[in-house]
Amino acid sequence: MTMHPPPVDQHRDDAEAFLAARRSLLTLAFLGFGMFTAMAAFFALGAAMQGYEWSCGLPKAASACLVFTMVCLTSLYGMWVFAQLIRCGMLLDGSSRSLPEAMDRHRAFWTHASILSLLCLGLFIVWSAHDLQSSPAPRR
Amino acid sequence: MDKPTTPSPWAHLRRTRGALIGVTVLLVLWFVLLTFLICATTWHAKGIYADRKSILQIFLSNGLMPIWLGSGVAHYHVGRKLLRLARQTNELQDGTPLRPAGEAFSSLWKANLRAHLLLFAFVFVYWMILSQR
Repeated sequence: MTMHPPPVDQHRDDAEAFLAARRSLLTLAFLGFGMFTAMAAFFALGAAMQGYEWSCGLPKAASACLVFTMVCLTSLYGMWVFAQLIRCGMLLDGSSRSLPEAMDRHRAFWTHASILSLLCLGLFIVWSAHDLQSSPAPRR
Repeated sequence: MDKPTTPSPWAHLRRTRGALIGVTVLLVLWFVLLTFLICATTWHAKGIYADRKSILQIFLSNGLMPIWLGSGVAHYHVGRKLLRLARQTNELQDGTPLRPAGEAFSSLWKANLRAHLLLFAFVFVYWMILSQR
């Protein structure tokens, strides 16, 4: 059985269905990229300005140093993940020629977004535990 | 010599299915974590108020409640769209029209943007309330 290639009109129709997502996708991609960039800058600057001991001599400084480093690395990873989504949005131009690459970037985004989400979940739990341990008891 | 063939959009979309299901599971995990946080802070406050307030009163007056409700709606909305796209990609065969998958794709990204904007609005309101205390 031979498979006939789909007609040109169908290709254009398919590509246009994906094109409808372009604006929302790019807005969210730039929002995410900006947020992770701000987070990386904020934590790196905060760590430098508050004078965390990067030698990590004490146990408490070591845990703070580890959490800050992990947050910075996760933010850099987040920037890369959202850069994939920006590239995907840029490639969605309504033509069928760039659709395979756009879908490849889209696949890369979701694959790495699940890893990023898992990392953020872990960091959130570690951060909350760290914060609860160091916060004073509430007043009655 | 044959040219190296690049995978088709059908192949890429089919390969996205696992990640889409994985992200849906993670959405549920995030919501469970937030629910746990609400319960933990309510339990903590119960110790402070002792018998002066009922557990329901404390639960409803919890500052995290709007975020919990907002994220519940957002997670449900996005999770449904993620699963719709995963279902569409599962049914894709090479050469079949991509339009149904394209519509699910557009619907997912529109819902995702709306859900994130809603969540950011709730977090912003919570942060404003906290900073005024």
